[in-house]
Amino acid sequence: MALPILLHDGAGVAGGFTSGLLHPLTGPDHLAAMVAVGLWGAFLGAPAIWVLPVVFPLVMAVGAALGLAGVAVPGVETGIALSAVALGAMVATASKPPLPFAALLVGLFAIFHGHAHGTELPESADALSYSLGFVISTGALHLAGIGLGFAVDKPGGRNFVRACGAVIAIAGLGFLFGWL
Amino acid sequence: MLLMLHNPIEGIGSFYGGVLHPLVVPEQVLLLVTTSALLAQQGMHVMRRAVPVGLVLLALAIWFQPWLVKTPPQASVLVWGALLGLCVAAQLRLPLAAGVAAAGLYGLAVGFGTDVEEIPVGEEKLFQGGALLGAGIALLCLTVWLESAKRPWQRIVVRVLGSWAAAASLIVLTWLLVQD
Repeated sequence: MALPILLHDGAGVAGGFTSGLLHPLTGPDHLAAMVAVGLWGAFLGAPAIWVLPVVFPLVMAVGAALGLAGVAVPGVETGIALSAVALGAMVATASKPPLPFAALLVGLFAIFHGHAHGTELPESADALSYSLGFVISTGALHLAGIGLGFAVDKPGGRNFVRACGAVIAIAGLGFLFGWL
Repeated sequence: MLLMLHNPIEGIGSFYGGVLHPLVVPEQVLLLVTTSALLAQQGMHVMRRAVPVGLVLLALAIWFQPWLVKTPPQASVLVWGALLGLCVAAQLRLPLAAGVAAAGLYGLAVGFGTDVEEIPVGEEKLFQGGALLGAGIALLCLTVWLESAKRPWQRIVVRVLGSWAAAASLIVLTWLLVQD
């Protein structure tokens, strides 16, 4: 199984904040999963719509701390690809599990995303501005997903949102098996 | 380890450099956002008492900075930023004294962080005056603006901001520990 390392394309970008800001945007697997978090939050409605975007960065910080401390987390890239598959599938199948389960699932995947960012951080010029950049960028992707998810209340919007989830899940399979 | 910036934009002059200083140094931006969000969540009755205390301590700390202390350690600023961010994310209702302490610590941290060592001789007071103006107005405006954001989704955005600040602070704290 090919495991593409797609998250680290932003390494060459100069400047801590800019580098951090671009980091999540230049990894399509990361980008797809973050949009899926927002989509799923919007699909589940309150309070998940704010719980998931709050839980994700906080648990992501734990993952980043593990990466920085040199603690190996097995299958980081596989976990990131699986996050796109699982979260996309949740939206596509209109799954509405209890909030603790949703938060747990999102938190679990946040560890992988955070670990990948954390191992990249020491190369940055300014650690704090890099971290602020990639946390803000991640959050902005959540908000983009929530924005898309608001279509669920419009006529035909529910099917549109589910189709978005399906596209993300299929893309996730592509990342997982090296087709993309 | 400290990452403080003293000439935000080359050629802008000491006064305007001072005005921009609290808005471009990552540690000071972090404290500005988290303190403002926390005070805004507590409501106008806390803001009325806390903000003046913060402004007075800011002025005193800027005035005495060249004689009393060097800039505060980055780790202490990050611990404080993480705590404030977590409080904002959890939307905690805190006693009046906690709000006053938060504003006061903002004033002290930013004031003592306004180092004039690299400012041309004779222009230190211009730089300090600019920093007082920039940090003071920023705290006042951002707090009032965030307090006026009363719609449910706006409250969610403020909580999400808190989680971003806490996450970024925790990541950099770990990074500092690993560096040591």
